Amino acid sequence: MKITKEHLLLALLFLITLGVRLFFVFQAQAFDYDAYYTLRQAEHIRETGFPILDDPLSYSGRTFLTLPLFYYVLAGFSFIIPLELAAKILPSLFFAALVIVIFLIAKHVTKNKTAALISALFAGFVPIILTTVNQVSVYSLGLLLIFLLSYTFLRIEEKGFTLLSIILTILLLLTHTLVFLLLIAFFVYFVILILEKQKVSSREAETALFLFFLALWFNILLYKKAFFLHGISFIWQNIPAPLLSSYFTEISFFGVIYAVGVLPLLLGVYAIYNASFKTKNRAAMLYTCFALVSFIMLWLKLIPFRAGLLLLSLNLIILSASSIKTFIVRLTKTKAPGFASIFIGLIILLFVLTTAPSFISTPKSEVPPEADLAALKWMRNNTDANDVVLGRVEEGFLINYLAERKNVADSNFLLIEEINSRYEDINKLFTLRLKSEAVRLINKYNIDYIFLSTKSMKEYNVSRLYYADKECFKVVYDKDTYVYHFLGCEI
Amino acid sequence: MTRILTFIISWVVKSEVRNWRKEEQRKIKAKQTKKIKSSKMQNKTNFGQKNESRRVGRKSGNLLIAISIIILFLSLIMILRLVKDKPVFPRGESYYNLRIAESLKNSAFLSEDSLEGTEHYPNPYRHLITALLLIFNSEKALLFLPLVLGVASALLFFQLLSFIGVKLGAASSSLLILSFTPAYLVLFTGLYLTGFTLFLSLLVIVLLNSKRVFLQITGIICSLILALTSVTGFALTILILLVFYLVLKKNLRVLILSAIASITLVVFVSLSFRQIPRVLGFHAFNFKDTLSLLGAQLGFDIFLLLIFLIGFIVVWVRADNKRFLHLGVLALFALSFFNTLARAFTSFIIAYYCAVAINFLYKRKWELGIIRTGTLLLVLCSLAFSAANQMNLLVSAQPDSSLAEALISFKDLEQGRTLADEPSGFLIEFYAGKEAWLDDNSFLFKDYKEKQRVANTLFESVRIKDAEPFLNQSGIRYILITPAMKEELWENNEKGLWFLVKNSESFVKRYQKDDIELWEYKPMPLQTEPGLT
Repeated sequence: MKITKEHLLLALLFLITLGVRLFFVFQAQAFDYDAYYTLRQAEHIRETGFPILDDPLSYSGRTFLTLPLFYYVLAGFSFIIPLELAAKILPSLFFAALVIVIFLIAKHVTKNKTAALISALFAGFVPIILTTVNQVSVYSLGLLLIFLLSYTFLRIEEKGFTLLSIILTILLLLTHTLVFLLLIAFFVYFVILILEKQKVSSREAETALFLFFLALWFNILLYKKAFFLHGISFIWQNIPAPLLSSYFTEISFFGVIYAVGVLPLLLGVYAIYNASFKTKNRAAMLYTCFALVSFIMLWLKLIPFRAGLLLLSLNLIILSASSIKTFIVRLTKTKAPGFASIFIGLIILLFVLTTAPSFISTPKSEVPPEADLAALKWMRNNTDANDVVLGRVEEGFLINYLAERKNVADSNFLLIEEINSRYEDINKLFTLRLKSEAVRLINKYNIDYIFLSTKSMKEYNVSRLYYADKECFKVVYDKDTYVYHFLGCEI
Repeated sequence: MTRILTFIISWVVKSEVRNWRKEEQRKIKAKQTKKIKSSKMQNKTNFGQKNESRRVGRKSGNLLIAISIIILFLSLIMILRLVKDKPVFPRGESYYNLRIAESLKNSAFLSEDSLEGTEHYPNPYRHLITALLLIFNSEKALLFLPLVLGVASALLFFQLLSFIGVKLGAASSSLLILSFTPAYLVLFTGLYLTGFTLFLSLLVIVLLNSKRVFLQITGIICSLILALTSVTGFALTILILLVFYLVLKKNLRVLILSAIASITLVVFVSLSFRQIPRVLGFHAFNFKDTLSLLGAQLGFDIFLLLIFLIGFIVVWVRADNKRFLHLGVLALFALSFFNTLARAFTSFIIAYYCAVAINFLYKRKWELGIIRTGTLLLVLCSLAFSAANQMNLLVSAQPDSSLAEALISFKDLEQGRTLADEPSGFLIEFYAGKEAWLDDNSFLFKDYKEKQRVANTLFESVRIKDAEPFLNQSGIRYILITPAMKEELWENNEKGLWFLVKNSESFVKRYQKDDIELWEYKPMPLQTEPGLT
């Protein structure tokens, strides 16, 4: 294959995206709170070859329902480089690779290299993508696979792409449940095609049907117990009611603008209008449906806010290539075709200008402070292996990974019964003033240590535990954060 | 009993096949006469006749296979329960019906269930169980009742499909799929009123669609029994029949007559017993009641629903003249989200559409062989998974021998109200003959919410001071703690009431074996302070 200017530009874009992401990633010493679950799974796979299914540490003993592919990839890389380094590099690599996939899709949709390259640039630096820095996010692989799958679907009539789409679906099924969004988008796409009196390709319909059955069957087999236990609230991952609003936030217009960026949003919306009423481009229609499904799911709070916005923004970016192409073609047809180049320059400049501020101010994922990490490391060396440590729900994985101790709760809520009362009890234990109630709750969860981190102090607006007197509690660690040892009182 | 059952089934199947053969041969003959008239190719048609007969033979074989699989699936659940040394019927309504039937032995007309404190409306199903108990003098005879009803319902459904012109092969496939349906497996492995209602409804529909007067009269009699069995079932049957009559353009006279006679009988019985018949089975929409995957006792399997949708689209596109009938099915499907009996009906109907969908997917010219094989394999796997999942639930359902043993030994204790989880209520009443604080019929009481609140408060109580007022107020004397309760209520940690009964002197242990505990509440006498006497 001959290396063209387009290939070089794309490679350069990939490297810049990777470089920028890595620059941000290496700014922080730690990862975001949830990343420690991924690290534990990868570490366990590296040691035993299997993910953790029955975990004695999480919730002081529970079963995990987990899709393991991402952890296996991470564990695989950890044989070459240290695990924590792999966890920093690999997600960035996947997000950077997304630039190439978006380029391929945009090129297929528009048949225009310039428009495709611009949309690849958008994909690399869209503000919402930057919120994933410091996360060892499963979405990095999930998004790459889902857009690759949609690309193979576009080319399903060509030889080998059906098999490729099946393989990608299987990989995606082992990574994340995101595949359902694409499958629903396929069906919306078919309905729109039928309404538009366009022919639905048999191969498309057959493959979509097969993939849908495959995905449904696989997920029902895997999550049968969770469905049975949580019912329809399984969709919301059994998240405690007070936390639900932060996971499945309501979508706001300004939130979308901020996450997607003004330019990709405007160009994307114009492309939807164009594809729906003028060009009736089938490929553009597919991504219109995908964007629509993502938006509706976000609106109905059926997918986590960040995941929904990531999908919505990437779909709008693909569609924006179509708008850019329309403008370029129109400008080249004018008496001054040179305007097209000016227009391209202007678009890039506008994108940089509109995204740069959010680029700087976009909140990166929260990482635990150094003082908290030090306290947890202390606990690993100075407490018994069977001790139960109470921390905030967000700190649960951290307690498991760094302190290697049992927690009372963490952010994986599936298969946990009466999660609301447990969540409420944990919050109470940081704010209670009444000792008798606190001791009752501590005994209820067999807690041995209470970890009052700097974050907990900030969140609960406390500087110490009010009920922790010398009779029942002993402060065993006191360096910016506190670790209380429960001496085993009965009330 | 087995011989009788085998004989009845083989006789019914044979007669069904005979009818079909006759019908098919009549059609073949008619076709041949036409052909002979037009082309006079006698030899060729003789060869065709042989082929057609062979085809009919093969298809009747399909019906036999379907019926055999139905019998196999239904009996397998019972056999597996017996192998596990469990009572044959899974917990629930079966034990209520058995208890009432036992009571009916002593008094043919019960106006009140003394143990539960609810009104008892005369019900032919419970009288049928009583009659069987009196004839065979053993509860074992009842094991065959759900099986017979299940097979008979399947055959009636088959007959019904033939009325609307469904081919023998498709009808047999529908029966085959029916055997995988969760609702069907539940209904005909226990003594459920819904199962009997379904059987009667199908019987009434088939008989009232018959052309013979004798059968029509029998149909009217059956509709009288149906109206007494279930008002909801009767209303649904009349609506279904109305759609049938309109589609098949039949005279509504028999239907009207049957409806009037049945309503009159219900009014008469209600006035005689001074009781209003209950219209049961209606509930608000809830996914947990609708999908078996989410734990619905009488729910749809999600895969079957998807296949049904494909089948419905296929049938809708093909059928120009019967769209009204399919519209009726859609209405029933919508109703099934709000009514248990409608869901049971729909489970049968869905089986036909699923058969159409699978046949469509099988016969369709696919672009890629691998996708075709994969899709069909997934469909079959999902059907097998659905049936296996339901069977597993039924086989592992309580009661087991240890619970039965515990409850039987409980019978010897003095009378008193018993607190346990709601699903164990009927079991306590049946085996121990004691009143349960909550059972599956408790929702009929006006103070059901209050009863639930009391039970939940007691389950959470760790101090006798907290529990005492509720125990005294409710009159609860016994507390039954089962392994399921320990897991579901207290996560296998000695918490709540479980902790209390073990650590309070107000409770006396009456039974403990195989993780089952029975405690009696004996309030401590008030101790008088010295000097006050």
